[in-house]
Amino acid sequence: MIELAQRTRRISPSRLLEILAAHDATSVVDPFMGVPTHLNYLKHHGITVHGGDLLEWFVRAGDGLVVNDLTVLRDAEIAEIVEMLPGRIYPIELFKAWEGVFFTEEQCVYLGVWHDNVRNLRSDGQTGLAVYALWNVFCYWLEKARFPDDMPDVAPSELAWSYMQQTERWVAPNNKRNTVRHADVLTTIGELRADALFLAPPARNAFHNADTRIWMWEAWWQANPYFTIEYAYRNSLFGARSSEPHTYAHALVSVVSAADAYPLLIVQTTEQRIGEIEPILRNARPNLEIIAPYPNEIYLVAKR
Amino acid sequence: MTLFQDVGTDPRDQAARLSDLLVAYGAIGSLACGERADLGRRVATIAASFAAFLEFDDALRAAVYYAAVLRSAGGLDNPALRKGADLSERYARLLRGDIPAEGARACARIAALPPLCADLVRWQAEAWDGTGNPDRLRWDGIPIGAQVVHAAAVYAMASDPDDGIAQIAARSGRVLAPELVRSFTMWFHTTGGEPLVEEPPIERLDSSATSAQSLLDFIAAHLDEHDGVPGRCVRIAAIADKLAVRMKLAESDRVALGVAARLYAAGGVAEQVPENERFDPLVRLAIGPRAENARRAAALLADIPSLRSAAGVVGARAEWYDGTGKPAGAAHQAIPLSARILAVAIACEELGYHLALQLRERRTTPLRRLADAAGTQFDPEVVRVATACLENGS
Repeated sequence: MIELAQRTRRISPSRLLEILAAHDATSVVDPFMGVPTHLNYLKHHGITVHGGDLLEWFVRAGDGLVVNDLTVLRDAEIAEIVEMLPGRIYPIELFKAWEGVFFTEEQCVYLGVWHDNVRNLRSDGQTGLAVYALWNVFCYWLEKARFPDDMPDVAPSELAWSYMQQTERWVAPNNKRNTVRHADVLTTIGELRADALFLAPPARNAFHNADTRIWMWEAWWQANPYFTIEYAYRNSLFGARSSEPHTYAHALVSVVSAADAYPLLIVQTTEQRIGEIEPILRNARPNLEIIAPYPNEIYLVAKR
Repeated sequence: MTLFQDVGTDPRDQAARLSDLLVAYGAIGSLACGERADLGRRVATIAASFAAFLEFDDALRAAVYYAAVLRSAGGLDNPALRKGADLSERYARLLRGDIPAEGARACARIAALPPLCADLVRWQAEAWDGTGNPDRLRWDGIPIGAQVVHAAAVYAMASDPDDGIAQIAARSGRVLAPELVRSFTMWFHTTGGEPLVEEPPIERLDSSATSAQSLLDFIAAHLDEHDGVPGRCVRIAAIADKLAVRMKLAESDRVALGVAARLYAAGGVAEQVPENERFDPLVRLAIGPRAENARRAAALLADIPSLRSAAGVVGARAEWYDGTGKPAGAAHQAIPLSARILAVAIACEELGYHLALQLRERRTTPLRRLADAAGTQFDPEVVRVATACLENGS
């Protein structure tokens, strides 16, 4: 059976909003944004948000949940995504390599169909919403493989339909220009300006034990079932080159140095990893506050 | 005056009083969210029983209990539920998702609550698959205590126990963790799905950190903010207490009147437009809606031991002195004096509220109008005392 990683850290956007409000920050940049639901939350509360990531599906999801103010998925459009359209030839064997290992034959066919349908959508907003909603289906299937008797059997198209409707409800404007970019952390930090920079840096060697649900969905988006996350991170700051403690520390120092222009720096970390980042942050900004409600949810708030 | 003086210094009595006020706060929040007032307590009973089944330690069980009691408290602070909120349906729905976070912020300000309680309130509507509110946490990122409250809420909202367990099973892997659903099913079959009502874990409330009076004022202030009339309860309580002193109301009745003055508006919390904006305080047309709000508030208070004495006061505030009011049509001395005083105090406050409008329209003064209603709507003696108070500027 597939191993699904335990969550090692928690990001609470409502708490993040409280921190931003306490410091009068109205805009934030997150260069390690990951699944951008926290940016979606901050956006709804009037914060101007900018995100960046190296995995493309995160950026596509950001197009739907962060950048997109108006484009929604109507029932007819959802129907065109979740089922095979008559007359179209689908690459139904695209994900055959996963068959039997991770998924059933039917699920692999649907993965191929959905990939084709999503790629044919008319706008980035719709594509982003669909990518995020279908990821939820994908996660459901992986959970279902772990708990086959405990979770209800739901037809793939029905499951996809319900997740799309749920995701579509999160679209709302905040009358600000919000952006996401497919870029390395230093590029994102350097090209944007905001009141606050939010960092949730990956752990050292994080790409070695990355969550299956994350990298497999990038493989789906790239239409390459043999995709590896090491490949995506190959030339990045936190890639293989930062696997040693001192090179990892050097990478963190370069991020904190690049963040010099941001008045407020918020770093999310855990009790286990606070020792890696706190001295670096304290060295750069002596005015440091630690908000530690839980061992897996610690915020280091540094002001100039 | 200081309310709840009779409690003395026994910390258990103080904690019991605090617990009752927390129940009232949760019930008012439930009404604001369009739920039944007693839903929070039912969810808390189920959650506490399930937490005991899961062998949570005492501290976590207490936090789960009070998080369940206060799960809808954020409804009072939610912009989408505020009186007069004019938002698009989509935006209002998004904002309603923030009710748990607003509840958590309110709980964080009540120092007497168990430490974990605020965050359990924050995350009690999170879903296992990351589609919950407000933080969209997923999988084991959601604390198990919060999932217990969520499961208890799903179960409590079902029409009967069988429907409840079916609803829980249908949400496995999406809203609730599959392991938790398995445990809940075992709990259901072990307890029969109808747990006995247990005593609230009051020993886990820090009664030295929050006084009952300050908690009552805190709830009343949130109620006023929700209704868009900040400071209303303070003004009404001050007027009512002055009248009570002048009319030599018994000490216990003054306490009940003090509670009633702060919480009387709980009955109308779910209405889109507050009473004072819908109706002039002196028109007969308002009797029905006022009586309905009074009935709801009285039912809420009657269910809570230490607030029960205020229920009669709140429930009779829409009675008219001449017997043409509602709900009972009681007249003269059959209406409790506290209720007659409360009715005048509310009218005084609302007439003050409309003062600017009345001056602009060159109508009669508020005092003259109050005096005109003596003998029909209000007790003439109470009006006489109120007029005397207001005329000499006290």
